[in-house]
Amino acid sequence: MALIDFRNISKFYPGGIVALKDVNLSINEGEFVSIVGQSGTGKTTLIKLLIAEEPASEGRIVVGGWDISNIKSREVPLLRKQIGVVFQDFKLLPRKTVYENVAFALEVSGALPKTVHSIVPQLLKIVGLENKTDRFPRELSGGEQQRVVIARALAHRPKILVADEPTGNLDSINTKEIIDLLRKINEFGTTVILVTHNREVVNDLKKRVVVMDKGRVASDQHKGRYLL
Amino acid sequence: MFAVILRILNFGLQNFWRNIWLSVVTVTVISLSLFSVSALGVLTVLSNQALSKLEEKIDIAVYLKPELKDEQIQVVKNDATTISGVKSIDLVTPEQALVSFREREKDNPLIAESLLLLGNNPLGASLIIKASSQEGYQNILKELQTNRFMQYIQDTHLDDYSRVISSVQNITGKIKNMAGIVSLLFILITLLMVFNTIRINIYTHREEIGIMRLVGASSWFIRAPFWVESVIYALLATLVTAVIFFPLLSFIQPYVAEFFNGFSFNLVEYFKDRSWWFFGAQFIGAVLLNILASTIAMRKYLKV
Ligand SMILES: Nc1ncnc2c1ncn2[C@@H]1O[C@H](COP(=O)(O)OP(=O)(O)OP(=O)(O)O)[C@@H](O)[C@H]1O
Ligand SMILES: [Mg+2]
Repeated sequence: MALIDFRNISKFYPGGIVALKDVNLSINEGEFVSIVGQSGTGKTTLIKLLIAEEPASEGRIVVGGWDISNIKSREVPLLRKQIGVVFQDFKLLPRKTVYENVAFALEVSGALPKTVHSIVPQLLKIVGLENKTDRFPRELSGGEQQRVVIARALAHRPKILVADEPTGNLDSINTKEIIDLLRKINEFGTTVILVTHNREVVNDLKKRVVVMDKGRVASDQHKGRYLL
Repeated sequence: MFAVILRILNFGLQNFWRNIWLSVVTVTVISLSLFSVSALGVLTVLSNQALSKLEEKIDIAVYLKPELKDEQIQVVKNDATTISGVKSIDLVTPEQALVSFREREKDNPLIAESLLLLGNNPLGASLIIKASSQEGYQNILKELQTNRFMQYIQDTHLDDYSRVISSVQNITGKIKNMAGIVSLLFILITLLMVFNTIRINIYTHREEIGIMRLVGASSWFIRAPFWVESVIYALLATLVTAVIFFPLLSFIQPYVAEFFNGFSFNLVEYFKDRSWWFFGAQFIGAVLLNILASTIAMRKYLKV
């Protein structure tokens, strides 16, 4: 059975806006899936439904065998621990250091100090920031900041990492570094979903590509290229 | 678990420090309402004291006929005890009456002389009756005027303080109403103030809260620091109130003593003896009030 399964998913917003229409999408464990498409075609909406930030209007979403279509709000934290999330706007806390920003994710979920001390350095090593643990976000480049966000998203060792335009604000060198990092994380066994506008990135990856158009899945290709 | 509680306390303290001036104003407003509640407490204690002292002063003096024998006096006294509403009866014997009469009139040589001339004690025994309630006196007087007692009684006299009592009740009632309204007003302002402070703090922390939700923090973990913050406000306000309260009480104590000329009643001691209870109750009240306000604010502004 697939790790993530969207079945006949539609999402309507008030005012007759159709963000998603009858989407069917299955993602297996360990996959690296790029989701591409023009602006306003429902890519971010798809992610919001996946992390239960918004409820689906129609259809069924199953994550790891768990039907989250009618998830209770007190169960949402449990889902969020299984899905690491990275957005374009970094959302680091400006008054906390690199170390503290990553530790924060563990602290607020009730991890013991011992656990925090052992996990955070590992995470920072994975993203290559082990030498900058005491810097504040403003003392980092955009790419470095995004790596901190990725480290934080990995804090709960999620099965799934979702990145919505993680390179939207970065130059091509930093973009390549971030994509390489995502690829590395995927090789460790984490399922990665990458939403991007970047044609080059998708073509270089040579992984599965899902193209969205007007709220529908327009094409879904393994080892795909950015068409359009 | 201990580490988690410590972390929540820490977050609560951070909320408090992050907008320190807002916190100061909030604590000040809560202190004002606690202070007005304290003032209401002081007024209540003072008026209750004054009234109970006045009530203690009321009694009926029943002067019995001088020719009654000791046994008859005892019978009358026992009979009077059965009147409903009687709390206590003190017997003043003719000898005691004479002693106090002499004491009172010792500067009047004429009276001393006439007493000497009379040779024997012209005074009768008397009964001093206290009723168990202020309303009981009229009933007792009526009962005493029945034939059963009239044959033994020369005269009755009611030391009536009810006019004084009702005017004291009237004045203190009005003052207490005023203080009550002021307290209520402050309590309402406190509710709004705490509500607004928590609202602003939720806004200040919107990024943290967003991240917390994203990384799977449970909703009580997100809410708890705001409750901690509310409790900190209540605690500080209670301390501030207590710290101002006692010096102020010492300051008004001399005036109180003067006003209740004759009653020895020490306000400061009274409230010192009860300070844990008095301020503990205020603290708990403030905590409940603040938790109510912050919970409403979170319901409205913290979507978790
Ligand atoms: N909260 C909302 N209320 C109303 N309409 C919304 C809301 N969120 C998104 N939409 C609409 O739903 C559609 C899909 O939006 P979505 O953000 O999923 O697009 P997207 O594919 O992520 O676009 P982009 O590439 O620009 O990020 C858009 O038409 C958008 O205006
Ligand atoms: Mg988007």
